[in-house]
Parts: sequence; C-alpha cells; structure tokens
Amino acid sequence: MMLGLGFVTPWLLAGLAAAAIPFVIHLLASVRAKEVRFPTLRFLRMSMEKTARRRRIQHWLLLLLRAAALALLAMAAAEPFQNAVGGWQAGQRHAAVIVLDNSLSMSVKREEGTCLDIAKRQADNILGADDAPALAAVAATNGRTGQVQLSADLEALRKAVRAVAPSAGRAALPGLVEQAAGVLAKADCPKKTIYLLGDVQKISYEELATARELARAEGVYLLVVDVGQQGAANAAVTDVEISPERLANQPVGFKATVTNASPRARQVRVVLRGQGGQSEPVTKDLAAAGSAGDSGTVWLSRTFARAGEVTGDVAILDDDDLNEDNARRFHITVAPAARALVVGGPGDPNDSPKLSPTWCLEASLSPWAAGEKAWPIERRTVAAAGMADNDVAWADIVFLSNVPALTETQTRTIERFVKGGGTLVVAMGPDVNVAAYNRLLAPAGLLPGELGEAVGQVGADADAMAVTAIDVEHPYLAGFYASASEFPRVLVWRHVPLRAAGANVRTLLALPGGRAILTVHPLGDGRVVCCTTTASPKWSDLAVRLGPPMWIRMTLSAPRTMRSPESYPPGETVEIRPGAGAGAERVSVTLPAERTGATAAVENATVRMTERGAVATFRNTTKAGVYAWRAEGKGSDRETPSGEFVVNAPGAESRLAKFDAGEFVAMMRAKGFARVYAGASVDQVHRAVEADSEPVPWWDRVAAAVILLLVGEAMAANLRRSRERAL
Amino acid sequence: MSAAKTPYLYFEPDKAGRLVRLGLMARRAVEGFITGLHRSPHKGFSVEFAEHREYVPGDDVRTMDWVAWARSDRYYVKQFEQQTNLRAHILLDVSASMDYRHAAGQTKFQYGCFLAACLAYLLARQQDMVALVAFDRSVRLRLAPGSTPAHLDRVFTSLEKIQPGGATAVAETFHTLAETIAKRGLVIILSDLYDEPEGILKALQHFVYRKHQVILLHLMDPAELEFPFTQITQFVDQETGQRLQVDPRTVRSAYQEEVRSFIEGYRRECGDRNIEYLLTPTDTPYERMLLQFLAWRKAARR
Repeated sequence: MMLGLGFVTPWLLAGLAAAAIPFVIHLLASVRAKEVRFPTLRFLRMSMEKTARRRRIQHWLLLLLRAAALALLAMAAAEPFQNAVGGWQAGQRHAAVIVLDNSLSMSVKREEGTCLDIAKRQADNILGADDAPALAAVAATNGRTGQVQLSADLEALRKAVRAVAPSAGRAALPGLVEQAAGVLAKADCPKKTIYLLGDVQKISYEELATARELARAEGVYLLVVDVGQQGAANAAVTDVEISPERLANQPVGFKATVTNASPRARQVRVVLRGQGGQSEPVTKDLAAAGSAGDSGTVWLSRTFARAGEVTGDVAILDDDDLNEDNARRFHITVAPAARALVVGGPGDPNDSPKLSPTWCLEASLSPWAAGEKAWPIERRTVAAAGMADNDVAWADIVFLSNVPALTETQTRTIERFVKGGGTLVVAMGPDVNVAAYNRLLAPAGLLPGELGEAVGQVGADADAMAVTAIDVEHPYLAGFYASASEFPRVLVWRHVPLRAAGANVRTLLALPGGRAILTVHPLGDGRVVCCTTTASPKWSDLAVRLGPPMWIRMTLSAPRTMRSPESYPPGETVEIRPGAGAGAERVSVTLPAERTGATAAVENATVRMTERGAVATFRNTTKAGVYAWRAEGKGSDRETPSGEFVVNAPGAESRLAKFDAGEFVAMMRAKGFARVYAGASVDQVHRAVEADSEPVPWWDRVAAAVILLLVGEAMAANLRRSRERAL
Repeated sequence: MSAAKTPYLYFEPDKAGRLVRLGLMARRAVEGFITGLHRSPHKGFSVEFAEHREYVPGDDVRTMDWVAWARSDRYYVKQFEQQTNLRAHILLDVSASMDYRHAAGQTKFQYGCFLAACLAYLLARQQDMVALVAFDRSVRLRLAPGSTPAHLDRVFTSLEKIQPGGATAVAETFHTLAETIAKRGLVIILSDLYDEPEGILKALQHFVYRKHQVILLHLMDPAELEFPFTQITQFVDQETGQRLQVDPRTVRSAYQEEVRSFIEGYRRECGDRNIEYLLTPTDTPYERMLLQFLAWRKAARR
C-alpha cells in the first residue's frame, strides 16, 4: 500500500538540499582548520588510535542527525500531509465487489420497501453512477453465488442485482468478504472497495472480524451501507420441538418457542395448523426485547386422525415488520400404529403366569382387551422357535424376552431389521444361554457387549440391590418424574453382568458400581436396548416400577417412518429418497412459491444409487417454506413417489439485534481492520472515507520538533564551550 | 614595592632573594674541594665525629683520643666527617619542544631559564659550585662549575644567548653527561622529557649509578596537560614539523589520560630510583614553585 504521503507545496522540497549543509560545513572546517604548533604529537596520535572507532561513529551520527533535522525542516516547509488510511482518492480507477445481504432479517419492511429492496436500489445506484466502478462483481450472502469475478459489463451486473431474492438464512459474510477481498487485491486498480449492503445484524456482522484475509488485502476498503432499521417490530416462532410419538389418533405434542424482538412488550396468539385444521389460538405475553421474558414457550397438541405425511406450521397470527418468521413449518409422518413383536422364552411352568417372561410385556403393550379402546400399539407374540422373517419385517420393535438362543438365520434377520431402522429390546431371563448370545448376538452388535453368567439370588431371603443411577435425560425416561430422586426405587435380585460395554453404549439404569441394568446403543439406523435383568418380576421389580411406561414409550417411538427430519435449516443439503423400486432417474423439486412471489420455480436433482437405496441430493434450500418433490423416470408411469420437506429460518436471525454504524466500525477497528467505514447510504459512507482521507497537516508539528532539536543542540554546544573555557 | 633592577634577562634578584634562607642542600654526600654546607664522603678533621682509628706513626697527636687510651691502654685517633661544598650541574633542555606556550606567559624554555638562573644564584651564594649545560640532541653549551660572581655572570648571560630549537635526544645526551661529570654531585634537570621514557629513565639511572643526586623538574605547559582546544585544528609538531588534524573535543579525554599516564610513569620510576621528581607547570610562578620545593626538601632533610 502507498504511504499516502503528499505535499502541499512540493517545490519547497528543493530545500532538502539543505541536508548537505552539515557535510559542507564539515568539509570546509577541515579545509580551514587552524594551524597550531604543538610540542609533540605523540599523545595525540595515541589518543586518536584509541578513540578512532568511537570518533567515527559519533562523527557520522552527528552529521546524519543534523542532516536529517535539516531535511525534516525542508519537508515541513513543503507542508506534507498524510492520508490517514491511504489509497482513497476521488476519480481513481475503481474496482468494487457489491455484496448484497439477502438474509432473513433483510425482509424487514420499511416505508420504502423491505431492507433488501433498499439495498438493491443502493447497489443499482453504485453501478449506474457517473463514477461507477470500472470493474465490479455482485454477490449475495445467501444462495448460489459461485466464484466472485470482476466484470466490466455493469448492465449485466445491474440485472444480477435485481435478481437477488430474499432468503431464510443468516448472512454468511466472512467467507464471501474474504473471497471478494482476494479478488480485489489482485485487481489492477488503485481504488478497491467491497460494498456490503445489509442491515448489520450483530449475529452475522460480528463474524466479519474473523475475515483476516480482508485485513491482509492491500488497499481494499470495506464500506458497509446500513439499510437496516433499529427498533423494528417483530415476534417470531423461533423453535418448535415435536414429540417423537407421532401416531394416528394419538395426541402429538408441539413445544413452540416464541420470541419478541420488538422494543416494546407485546402479546402474541399462536396456533397450530396442519392436516386441514387449526388449533385454538394460545395467547402469550412477551416482554420487550432484551429483557427477561422476551421469549416464552407455548405448548400445543394435536391429534391427527389419519396416518401419513403431514405438513403444517406453528404460527403467530399477528402481523409485524417481518412476517417471514411468524410461522415455523414442519413436515412429519404420522404412523397408523406402532407394531411390537414379542418373542418369548419358555419360562418356568411352576411359576405364576404373571411371572411369565411374555405376560408382563403383553400386559404393558396391550392393556386393553381387543376393541375395548383405541390403542396405538399393535402387538404380536411368537415363540422364539417360530419367529419368522415376516414377523420381524412387520414389526417396528422386537422384544426378545428370556429367549434361550437365536439361530444364526434369526440373528441375521434381526441384525438386518435393526440396521434398517428397527428397535430391538433384549431382556434376560433364567433360560438365556449366555454362551450362545455371546457367540451370535454380541459379534453382530445386537448386545452392548459380551455377557457374563447371571449373578445374584432370587428368593424371599435373598439380598436385593437398588438401582442408583438413572439417566433421566434419555427420551425413554425423560418426563416421567421431575427429578431422578422422585423415580421409584427399583430393586434387582439377579442380573446378567455386562463384561465390557462398547464405546457408544448409553447406560440408562445402573446398580452401584456402574453395573448396567438397562442400556441402549445405536446399530445402523436402528437401536438396541438391553435389559440385563428380566422383563417380568422374576429377577427384579423393574416390571412393576418402570417397565410398562418405558416399554410403551420405546414402542411408540419405534416406527421408522417418524424419524425423518421435520424441517431443515436454510442452506442444508436435503437427501430425498424416492424409493428403490420406483425406477426414478431424477427428482423435480418445486421451490416455495410464496417466497418468490411468482410462479413456483422447479429444479431437478439427479437420483443415484447408494448402499441405502436411491438418493437424490438437493442443495438449493435458501428459501424458507414447503418444498414439494416428485420422482421422474422409467417407473414413473407405474408409481410416482412424491413428498415434501420444509425449510425454516434459524430462530436467532429473528432477534433483529443490530449494530449502529459507528458501533460496527469501532468493533472492526478494535479488531485491527483500518479500512472499514459504515453509513446509512452509499453517499454517506463515501463522505466518511473522503473525510478520513483529507490531508492531515503535520508540518507545523514537525517544524516545531526540528526547531526544538536544533535549539537543544545549540544549547548543548554552548554549554560544552563554556565548560571548555572554564578549563 | 618596585622590582629590583637587573641587567639580566632571566635573573630577578628580588625573587631569588626570598629563597636564600632556604638554601639548596644535597641530600647525600657530595664531593667538593672546600669546606662547605654539604657532607663530604671523605673523613677529615671537622666538628662532626665520625669514628675511631688506631694510631699510626705520622698521625697528628692532637687527634689522639686520650679518654680511649685511658680506658683501653691503646692509642686511637678520632676521625671527623668533612663538610664540603657542592658541585651542581643544571641541565637545561633547549630543544624546539621547549619553545612552547599556549596562552600569554612564558615558554617552557623561558621558564627553565628563570629556574636555572635562580638555582645557580642560590647555589653560588652558599659557596657551591654550579655548572650549566644546555642540550637538545647534543650538548649545545657547557659552563664548567664555578661559584664566583663572575661565573654567575657567565651563566646568566649564556642563558640569554641560547635560542631553543632542534630535536631532542635526551637519553643519549644524559649518558654522555653522566660519563663526563667526574665528581659526584647534584644534577638538576629542566626538561619536558619528550623522548622515549625508557631511554630517559635508563640515562637517569646512569646518573644515580655515578652517585649523583638527581632532581628532575618536569616542565609542562598547562595546555599540554589539559588540551583546551575546541575547534578542529591542525597540530604541527615543533620538533619534527609533522602535521595532524584533530577535532580536540573527540580526543580530549583520551589525550588527558595519556599525559596523566606519562607523568605517573615518570613519578613512579623516579621514586624507585631515588630521583626527586617534580611536575612543574609553567603557569605556576617559578619562585613560588621553588619556594615550595625547597621548603619541602628542607623539611624532609630534618
């Protein structure tokens, strides 16, 4: 970068020749040296030899200092000035990259239109002005921008500006700004500028301080045009959590978080919409933004009458300055019922039927007599020997209760079932053949680890151990009781110890010393639950304390269809699975029409085959809303797989906490970014840069310093002479 | 009080008169030929007892010690220490380097002449014989010892006729003089000693070896000691004519250090050789310098 040093009267720099004066004086003094007769030169020679080096240094240092002082005086007379930041001069050849912030918050409505509309007008003004850049590029913070490339075709760039659409995501600034800085640094123009037109939201813009390439880029200015509005009125649904049990005719819970970003407290009405219906509005009072209570939770519930895919939203009914975040969409699959297969072992014929390994599970999963009451669980019971592939394929969850051993074929069937997304619950019992389990199930990952021989005694006089560790955070146990201390005391008389558990095994219940009673671990797309004691009250009282609600919760959350994501964040890659049998070659995706404000755009994604079936990858998820997809190809005439997925804006973007221009510049300057300016318009930012680039006269200070230096040296010389005279 | 009138350039009777009562005494025995103030190495008849010696025929019976005979029944004669007059040689350096003065005042040569005249007067007045030797690279003038007023006149007028000049060869000249001065006596050297110190010290040792008592008055101009020059100056060696351009401010401290070391070297070496050394800056009035020096010698002799 140029130093930015100039002179008001450069011809006075001729005075720099004055720097030669000390040298001339020195030479003249040498020529005119007074001749003095002296008795002997002996001591002088010896002294000069001794001081030769020091004299040389002092001599030249003094000469140079005097020359430098005179040169500075000459420069001071020429009235130098320095551009405080350097490089910005009006009329210079100019290269610019215009970065348009099209994040969600740019959709805030102002009198002149949305913030994005204003930003686009400002960008258009830059490209259409008389002093428009010679080379320019346009890039949007969200969406497919590709590589930033400078172009001299400003008309094409103006069209690109007009085409920039709002998106639902956060502004991704550092990468884009660094890329722009890199492109500009290589540009052959003296003036290089990144115009960032946005609303200066803290959440995104403070990340600019990490754009070190910008700081390093030589001579590149970052001019931020703040088109945002302080104090916009906005309330948003910033998050929705949906309960995992999504079954027809069963209430599905929705926990919605609503946030007030307005400067004043407000009341919002929240509803749940989907499958053609709308819930009663729930009213929520929210405090002003930034104070306690500016965010709250609304609990909503809905029972879906039909199984199948449901697209809906949780929405605030009241309008505000940013309506785009008033609704949070979801897309879920409601299963008709959860299907449980209970595979029971023989049991002891002498035992009470209620100690049977299957009876307790059956009673838990089917508490009502057939037809007595609608119940979301369908259950089948088979003997271990009779367990067929069809039984397993039918089920969402398989319970192995006191099964002595599985054949190798059965083991493979179960393994495929779990890896394909099913849930396996393995409960121990007196008939379990530990060696067979260790030989077949453990290597297949169907056990958390190898098992040891059962320990503990069963009987009236036998000692029991109490479960002391309960993982109350796990979805299988969460919410039953308010805290771990309130859980009923579970006693265990006998259990099969786990020799060593794998790394991904989570222990939900454990005896003192960490001996696991209930574990869960993932396997493929499914999961395996292992109960090291019996599912019946034979070895423990788990079956009468925690068992029934736990088995029901496991079963209700088991259906694989319920596990697809209910929504995606903007910019996320979505994998669409059209199904292997459909023969689909591509998937056409219809973008959310309400955002484009025109005919819904359609984009295609190619289908490829993977180990887990046919998959189409779709990346253009910048807009929030419902995306509809449809498989197309050879098999489309037979069956046309189709579906939907939804994209929601990140909740944090709705908070609308913004910097003011000065605050932003101060933050950036504090991080070492010198050439950053901000203002409410392009003109204002230009004026700020130009004001900073005006000549800073410092000649008077330099002149004063030089004169002081010369006076000081003269005084020192006089003092020296006085001392010498005194001698 | 007006100064006494004198026909001599370098002799001021009024100033010399103030020094008469102090006298210039030899510190050790010197050889003379008349009875004087100074101890003689020869035993004779005098008032100061020296030792007993056994009588031999021919000895003056007046010198026999009858008390010793009464006690020992043997004949002894008493011997007394002879007191003699002094032969003093004043060696004046008249090389070109002595013709220097920085400020108003006397050159080292003129200062030396004043000293030489005053010393000659003092010595002659106490019946001592004084000789004058002027030298540079060789002996330019040599006046034989004498103590008469006519001799003093010759000394004073000879001093007036000498013009300083020529290079110094102190050591060589001193060796020559040491060989030629027959009787042991007092040697007073007035010089700036600008020759190789090692050679000079050897030559001084030569005098000491010949049983002379040596007083070395080292004449230095204050400018030679302090080096008060301030401007860049071209210095010209008075003896060799060599030139050297120097910025005095940059070398002053080193110069002073060298001179100090030069003087200290002489002071130390002379002390080791029993030579009386006195640094004599020419800005000190010579009569005051002599007054202090003689008073100090007198006190030391007691």
